Amino acid sequence: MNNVALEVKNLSVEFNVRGKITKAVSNVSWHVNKGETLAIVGESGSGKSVSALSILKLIPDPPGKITSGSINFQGANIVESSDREIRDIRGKKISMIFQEPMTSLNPLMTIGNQISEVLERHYNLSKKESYEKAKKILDLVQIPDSKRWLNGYPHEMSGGMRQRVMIAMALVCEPTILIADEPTTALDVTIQAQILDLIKKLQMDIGMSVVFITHDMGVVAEIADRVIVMLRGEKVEEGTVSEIFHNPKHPYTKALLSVVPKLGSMKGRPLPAKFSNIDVKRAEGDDVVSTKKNELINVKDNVKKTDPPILEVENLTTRFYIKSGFGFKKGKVHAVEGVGLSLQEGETLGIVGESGCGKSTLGKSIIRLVEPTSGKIKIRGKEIISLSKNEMFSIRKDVQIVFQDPYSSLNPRLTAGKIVSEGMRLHKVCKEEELQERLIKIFERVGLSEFQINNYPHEFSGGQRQRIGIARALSLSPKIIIADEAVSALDVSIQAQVVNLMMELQEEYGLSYLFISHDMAVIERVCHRVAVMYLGEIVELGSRGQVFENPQHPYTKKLMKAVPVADPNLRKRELNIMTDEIPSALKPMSYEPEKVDLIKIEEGHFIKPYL
Amino acid sequence: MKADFKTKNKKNESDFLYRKSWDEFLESLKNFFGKKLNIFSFSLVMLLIFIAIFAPLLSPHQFDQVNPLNALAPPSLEHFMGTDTTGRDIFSRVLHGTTTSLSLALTTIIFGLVTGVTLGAISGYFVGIVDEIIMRIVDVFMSIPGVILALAMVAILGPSPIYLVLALSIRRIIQFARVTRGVVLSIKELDYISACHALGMSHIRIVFLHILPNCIGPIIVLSTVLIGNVILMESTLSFLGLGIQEPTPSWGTMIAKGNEFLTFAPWVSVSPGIFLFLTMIAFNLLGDGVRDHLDPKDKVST
Repeated sequence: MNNVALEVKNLSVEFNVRGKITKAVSNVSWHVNKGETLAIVGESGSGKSVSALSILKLIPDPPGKITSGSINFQGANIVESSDREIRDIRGKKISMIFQEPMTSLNPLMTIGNQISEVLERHYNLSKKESYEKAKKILDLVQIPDSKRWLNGYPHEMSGGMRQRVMIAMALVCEPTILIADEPTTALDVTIQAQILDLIKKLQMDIGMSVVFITHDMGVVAEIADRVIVMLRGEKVEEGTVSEIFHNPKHPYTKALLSVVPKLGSMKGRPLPAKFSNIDVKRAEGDDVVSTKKNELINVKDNVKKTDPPILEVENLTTRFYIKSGFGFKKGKVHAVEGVGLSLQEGETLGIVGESGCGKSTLGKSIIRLVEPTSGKIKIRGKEIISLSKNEMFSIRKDVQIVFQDPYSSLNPRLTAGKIVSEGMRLHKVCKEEELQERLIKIFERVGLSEFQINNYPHEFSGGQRQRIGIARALSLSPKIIIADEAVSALDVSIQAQVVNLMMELQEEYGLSYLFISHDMAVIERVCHRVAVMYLGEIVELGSRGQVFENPQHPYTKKLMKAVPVADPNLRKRELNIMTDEIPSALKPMSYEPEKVDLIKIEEGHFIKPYL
Repeated sequence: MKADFKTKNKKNESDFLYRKSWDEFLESLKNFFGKKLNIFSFSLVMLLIFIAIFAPLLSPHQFDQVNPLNALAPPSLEHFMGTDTTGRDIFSRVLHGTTTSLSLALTTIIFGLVTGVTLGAISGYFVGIVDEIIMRIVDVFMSIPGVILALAMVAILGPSPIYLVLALSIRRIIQFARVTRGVVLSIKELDYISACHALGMSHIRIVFLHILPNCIGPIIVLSTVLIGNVILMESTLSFLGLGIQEPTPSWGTMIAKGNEFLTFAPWVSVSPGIFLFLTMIAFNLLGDGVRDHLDPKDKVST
């Protein structure tokens, strides 16, 4: 027992919202040993965050309430301790880092102030002493030029740096336990790799225990010693990381592992592949129960090579101007710079890159939701960039878009039926009498029931909302769908379903997708061809096999290396902490980029020349 | 269940989705009045409107009947709310004041709301040069204190009720425009508006069908708050002789005039004050009720 750092016994947490009681966590027990990393895995709503937050009594009360159980830490039961006692534990003995680095630092306080505040609270250090200690801890989390940053403000830092400051704040009192609640979810893969390495290294140095909450199996494989799998408030499986990954017992764990797209799993396959074993019932709230092996189902080869291709983009450039007062331009963001690509009928072209690389702007520029600065866009051979709003109207039917956020992409005041049918009415795709029948057909096609036509968006789950978004895009029978991070906000099991749906639709209607995503593994799964974007430019373009199996550009290589692989055996042994940042695309007005053509290295495989 | 759904839609196939059937409208009303608070606030508003219309029939005395011998008499059976400095019956004056104050406040708010929301929506939606022009004009009006602005307008245009409404609503237009612009700015960045553009919708359709219905919350709250505000502002103008002219009663003027006797004849101020208070409560609650009712999140569909 002496080896146990924290023990949670029979914990139950309930939320009482307007008289409606929801059990967020029911009767969960676990412990974390000294110096160990425990990962709590689960999909949204599984209670993983709530169970961790209750360790520090950070769940909002009301509506939340710990109804039973005990949390034993250093001989005391946290559940029963008073506010004053718990405040002495928080930040000093048990500390926490949160998901969103952009909002978890106070924008009005300097970095030094925020770190020293913790020290002043717990150790009564003087200003000078605490600043010295703060500088040391910033060095420890690899903030370059730490002395200067003590007087810097959070907005001057990038997301990765802020998350490192958060870690510094959490570690400054050398806690025995660090709770990390999805600390890398909001970060890019390369930054995620840095943060994971950093946490591992610090854990070794300080010898603390880490409770790591995540939904990402890849991250779990990378960092955890032991794993707990949670499903709707209950613990379904517990085991060491290799037990969980190589010999999962519970059907939910098996299913969860089977829907995780693994980078490299598509080696040698020319075509995208669907996920095999997904129980669609999961969308309605039942368990994924499957014992089938993770099979890949090939899609039909439907790509039609036509000339001209269905979509052709040449030298597309989109810049945003930063204005100071009175409308003077003081700088510009080169969001998309000289991009050229083409898309065939029935083909999926993946656009992959980190945040800020301009991949979303590229997608929006192609359907002129954002006005491009210059370049050519041809849809079925027709140049569209010079068309007026009225002339664009008929083109809109051919190109549709599906957005990332299933919550902000549907008007909350319209029913699902209205959302989907509005475009059909507008474009008069069918007679008014046929509208209802067509609507029901579309709803059924995307896996929703006709009874849900008159429901409002808030009555749907995230995955169902994304299906409505797809139905809306599909309602006009488009030729091209731009999927702007369409599956990124969804849980893995839902993501697999939506990806399958999109591939089925492609087979059926010969759709072409421009599939924009930051997730390399998903891109590998769904795309025929891939374009890698960096700072507004395409740095590598080629078939899926060419880019993933034979990456040539150093940035592509770096990106691939950073992706955590959902297999603990492939864990990187050496810690290689990088601190490099992505440079900014914000440039002064006088800046004019030099034009560099992609060079061909083999048939269909192009890279941007590099030094 | 399935068959049922189909027949239900067969019956009114043409109304499918967009036009609401009469049944549905009744259903929606039933839901609205299912809440006790809504019944209360709605009845109170109706009562006030009833008083406003039938004030001459309801009041026991002439509102301008002077009786100096009975000045500042406390409430009695003869005069429910006492009398004022010239012995006029306050109860009758308050009832008549309902007509003036309520109609003034409502016309001002409605005029301000329609103009302000339109300006704000245009400004927030189109940004750029249109926004700059509208907002700089708004800034100019913001920089002049409301009372002085209204005073100047009434002084120039003359003290007629129409000009009074105009003078009072200038400030409301600005407030509505500011609030609407802010909400529109945030809503138009949301993905569902982008989706509307991608479907090829016209600007007018996007603004009126997709953006404004989602701005309704803050607008309703602002208009209910402003009702009381307008009534009191009118009293300031009247106090300076530029608002409602004596002997026509208005709540604001009555409250303002009673100030001097608050210590020994509180009924002069308190009586119209109670009516103002009830009006504000009624409209605030009704506004909240309507806002909640229009929010689809509160509905549970079958």
